[in-house]
Amino acid sequence: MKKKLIVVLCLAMALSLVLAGCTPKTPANQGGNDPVAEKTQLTASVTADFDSIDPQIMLASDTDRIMYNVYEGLAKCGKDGNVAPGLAESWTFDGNTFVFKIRQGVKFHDGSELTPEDVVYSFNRMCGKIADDQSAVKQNLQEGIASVEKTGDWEVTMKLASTNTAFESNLLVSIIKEGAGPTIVANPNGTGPYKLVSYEPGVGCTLEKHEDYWGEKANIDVINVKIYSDTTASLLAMQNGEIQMAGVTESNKEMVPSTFNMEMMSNNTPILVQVNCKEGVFSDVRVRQALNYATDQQALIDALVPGAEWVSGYLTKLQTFYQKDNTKMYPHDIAKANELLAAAGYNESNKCAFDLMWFSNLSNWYESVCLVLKDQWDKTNFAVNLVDTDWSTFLSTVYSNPERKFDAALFGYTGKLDPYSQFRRLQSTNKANIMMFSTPEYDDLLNQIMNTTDSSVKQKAYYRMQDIIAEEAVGVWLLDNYSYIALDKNYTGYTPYVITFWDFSTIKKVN
Amino acid sequence: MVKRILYSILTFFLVTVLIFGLFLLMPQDPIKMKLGDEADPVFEAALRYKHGFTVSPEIGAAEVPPVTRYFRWLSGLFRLDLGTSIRYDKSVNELLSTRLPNTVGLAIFSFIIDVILGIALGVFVAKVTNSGHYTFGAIINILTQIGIAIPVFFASILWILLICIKLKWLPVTGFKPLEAGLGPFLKGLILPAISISVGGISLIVRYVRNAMTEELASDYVRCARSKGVSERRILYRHVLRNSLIPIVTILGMRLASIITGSIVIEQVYSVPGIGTLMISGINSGDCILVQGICVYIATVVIVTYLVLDLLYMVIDPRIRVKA
Repeated sequence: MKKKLIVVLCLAMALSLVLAGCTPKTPANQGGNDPVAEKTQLTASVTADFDSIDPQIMLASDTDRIMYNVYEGLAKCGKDGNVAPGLAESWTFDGNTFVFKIRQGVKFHDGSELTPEDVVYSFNRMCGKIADDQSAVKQNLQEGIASVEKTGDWEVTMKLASTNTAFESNLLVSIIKEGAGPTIVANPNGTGPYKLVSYEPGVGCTLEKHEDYWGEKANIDVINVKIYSDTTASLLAMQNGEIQMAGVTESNKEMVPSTFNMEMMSNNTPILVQVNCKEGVFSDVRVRQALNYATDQQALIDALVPGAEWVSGYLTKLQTFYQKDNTKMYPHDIAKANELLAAAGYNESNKCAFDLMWFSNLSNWYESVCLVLKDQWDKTNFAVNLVDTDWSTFLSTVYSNPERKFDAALFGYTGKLDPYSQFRRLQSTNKANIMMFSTPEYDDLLNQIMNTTDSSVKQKAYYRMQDIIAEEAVGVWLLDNYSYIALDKNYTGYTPYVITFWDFSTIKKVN
Repeated sequence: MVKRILYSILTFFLVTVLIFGLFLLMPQDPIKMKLGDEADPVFEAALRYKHGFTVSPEIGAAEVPPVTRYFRWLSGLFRLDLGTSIRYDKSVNELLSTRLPNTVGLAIFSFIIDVILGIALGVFVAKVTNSGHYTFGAIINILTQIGIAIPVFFASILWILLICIKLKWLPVTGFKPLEAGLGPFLKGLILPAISISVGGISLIVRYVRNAMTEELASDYVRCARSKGVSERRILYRHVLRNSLIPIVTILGMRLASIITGSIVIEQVYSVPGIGTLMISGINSGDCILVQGICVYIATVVIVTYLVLDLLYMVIDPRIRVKA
């Protein structure tokens, strides 16, 4: 009897401990106000963990999305997709030499002031000139920069190794404190509107408002970034009020609760069917053109991503100054496609067969695109075989292999701030020229852009390159995919950018 | 016993060869996976050297032979150094040590629920079924079958919908690290532990029920009853004890399975445990991280079965004599 009583009492105690720990109706650890500290908070969810929190090593766009709030460069991405002044108040550039006027009064998160020496150190680190810290070396900077020196109290001069007017986009690289390289991961210290106060791999991070930020101060005091690797759990957490901001795709936007506003935003990621222009069936321009005629991009867009932009090259509507619309060059025409295939030696009894690779581990959405394309192409004398491949395998076996044994592959390119870095993908000497397209005129136009600061000359050159891409049917350009940002209706102020960046500093709570 | 230990060591070595060899067969290049399609060649070469793939940090440096890499890795294991993760650029030891408390906490929590509820329910069901309530036994059969058959992922979503969305008793992802305090840590693991335990309890109930039902039909039970021994004493002191061999086996297997990372549960509830670390490592082709985790899993499983063998000797003296 006594034993029974003891057991019952123990169970009752355990149960009461559990129940006492349970939350009442309102869920825990979300945004809103912390009544004790009177701090506003916002919880955002991301699906992928950071690849590194060293700002000069991080590469993944998912990391940039958050970390651009913590670290800044001499320049930053403007709201219009332009290169705007950042830690450099202004600069002059003649194609070979930058002279930066460093902004005064900028405080790092640890309270110390930004100095020209920090700028010099940061670039030297990335150029491999810091002997005991070679972890952040970038070849394009190492080869592109001849020297970076302090040439005045608040002046830094950067001399390039050769004329390169497209170098400006490299000014977004993060500036860190002199000597901070080896310890930057353990002690994050940037100049951005938010400071990184904690990071746990696989869990997320916490950002706190930088009270001494040189620019417009952030509105929200604390940003909790949580990693939700499972989309369903993320959507349920949104429903439960645990998340106030998340990226949402077309396929699951219907599950977003009505307490959220959805803002559609361009991913600035042109999706295309990349083709091997050097070997195989697509080495013949007529076959490439036939594939373009066989594709009905508008029908694809209407079926899968209504409202998405039909693109004809690397640039989307976010970069209108240089973008040229060549979407009308290949109207959907099955007869024309078959005519070109016939001229290339293919017909109904001898179809033009090729493999189209796609990557389910990048996105299952690609499968839908492939199926629609196959359905369209099956109506012509193409015979396409869909091959689901692992992206890493493709990188290792096809991308890295100079011979590039593939016919066609479906994937997109993340947009860049500077169009030059996108167009140079087709430069004949570029190892990343996956489509192995090569023409002297294209290379000459790239050189022309590199050597001029005149934007009208650049525009003309970009237009001509886009014409070449279209005329030579270098790939089948499809669309710029978009996604949604779901923001709790209690918050407002989200600003889309050309690059992958969630600017938390512009978001504020609605009264 | 010595033989068992030697076999375990041999098994461990074979596992290391298998793990290392499998990654050699895979075409993924973990460095390219990390850097993407526009990898900086200088950075790539430096990373390759850093992680032991090449002999120097220069572009085009010769590769270290796989056999050499294996023995370097193995010697690291003896020094308890599992290497540096390519994906996270942190030591695998450090990553495991931050994740292990979460997985172990979840494992112990759900294991305790499994043991307490599973055995108690199993004994109860065996007792009731044995007294002639066959319909009850059939119902329990169906329920436990459902408990085992329902996919853990699906069941977790249902629990979330009920407990978090409908009743608002707990947040969807309420995980808090141990540093936040034991109470918040355990509270964050309640729902994941329940999700894991449903299948475990169902399994244990069936094993306990079957084992005890068989023992209850034995002659010694009839003899004990005829001697006037109380039913409670017969059940707990004799029958349960004699049924422990299969029960301990299944409990050991359950513990090994949970402690090595409940991948699905950790994904759904965003618990940063060994399971999610493994998924992340596999997705990024981080062979060093995944090898380290596999060694950890192999060690846990080997040690668990070794301990089980010892337990058998304690439970059943006949096994001790034979050994």
